Amino acid sequence: MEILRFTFMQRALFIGLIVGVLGATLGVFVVLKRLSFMGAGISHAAFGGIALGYFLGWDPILTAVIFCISVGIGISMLIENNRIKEDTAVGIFFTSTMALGILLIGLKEGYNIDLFGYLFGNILAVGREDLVISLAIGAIIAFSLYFFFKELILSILDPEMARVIGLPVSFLNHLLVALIALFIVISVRIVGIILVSALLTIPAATALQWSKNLRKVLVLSSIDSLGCVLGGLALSYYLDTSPGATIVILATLVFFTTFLLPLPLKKK
Amino acid sequence: MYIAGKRVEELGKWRSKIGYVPQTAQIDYTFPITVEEFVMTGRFGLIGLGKRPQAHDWEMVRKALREVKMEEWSKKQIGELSGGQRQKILIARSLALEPEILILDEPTTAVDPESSESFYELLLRLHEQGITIITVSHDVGVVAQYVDSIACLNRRLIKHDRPEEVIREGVLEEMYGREAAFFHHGAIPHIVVRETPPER
Repeated sequence: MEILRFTFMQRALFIGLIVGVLGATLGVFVVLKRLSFMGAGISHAAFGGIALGYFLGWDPILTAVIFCISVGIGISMLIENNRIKEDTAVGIFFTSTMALGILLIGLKEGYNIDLFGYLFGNILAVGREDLVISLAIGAIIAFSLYFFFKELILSILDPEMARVIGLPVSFLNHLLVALIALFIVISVRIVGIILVSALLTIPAATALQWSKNLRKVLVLSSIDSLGCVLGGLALSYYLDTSPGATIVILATLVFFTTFLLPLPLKKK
Repeated sequence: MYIAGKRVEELGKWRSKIGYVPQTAQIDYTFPITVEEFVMTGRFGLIGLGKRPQAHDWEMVRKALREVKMEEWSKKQIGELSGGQRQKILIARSLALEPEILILDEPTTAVDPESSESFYELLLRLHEQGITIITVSHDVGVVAQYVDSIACLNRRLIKHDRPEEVIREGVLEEMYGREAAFFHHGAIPHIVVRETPPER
């Protein structure tokens, strides 16, 4: 395997493994709770967070983590009492945080940020610290999803009943948004800010066409996502294309192929 | 307000003795979940954070499904059920909690009249097993056939010990004005109360 000779590729594939499985699992919750647009909003906010990190001289990725979580929870608090509709709140944060990023980068004299790399992913830039961060954040996401699995399910399926039986529904909503923010930060290197929300939407949407059984949906989504992330990375290497874009196009092709398949082929 | 001698705010663990069936549950019926998994969600408050359902919990779920005669549907996805069946699994979800009190808010709004009748028979059966049932309804005539006591609410709440008192002419009119009307179809006389807008 020629592709595995390069350290950057080994690292990219390792992060791809984490991102593939976690994105697929988290994505099922995102799609069922109809948070796809929220995912896109928070991922664009990551740009503002990275720029803020550069501007203040802090670690851009860690600044982006805190920034994205704050934006995500900010949005979910704004919409909680129905004072502002969700798409409006996301629309406001989506653009304003990107504007903040552009503003801050302009203000910082003599900047040399790899903007393109953050926006569209840059697997050459995957360093050792990225591996450590991905593992740590990945573990937090996996543990949270495992620990709060049934609570998250009920709060999405029937929030009113979840409240009646005393579940902390607000906390669970904020938790999901925080997990999305964390996921975005670890996938930025692979697919970039612009495309990251695809990983939270497409594999889950594909799997939901195949099964009406939650466990099967989670497994199918993970298989699809892993195949697309690792396959996309390999394809991009041989075709010399953008890894992020290749992954997303591959996932989209699988989605539409599934979508166009006659219904009897898809088990219910 | 007191339930079983305890203030509602201080119910604590007693809270899990109360089952609740909402009026129009905001449930996404396309959700990939089977009937038995759905009924299990009723026990989530008892099972506790971070824990998974045990054999005993599944036994309670099966018992609840047997109670509402929906056992054979347990592996089906919830979206495959009819309106009446959906109402039954909502009840089963409350029963999975092994409640002592069951509160239902307009339980038959989305159910056809035939299922509605068998639905009340089901409630009656549960009541005979010792569960206290409180239900809100606009259909006073039908409810009156099954209940021990009725309370009418129209800005003020008046409790009548015997439902026959309510069906007696005059009582409803006094309570709801001319908006209350009798009509007959089938074997059961219906008394329908139309909600009146508040006086300005």
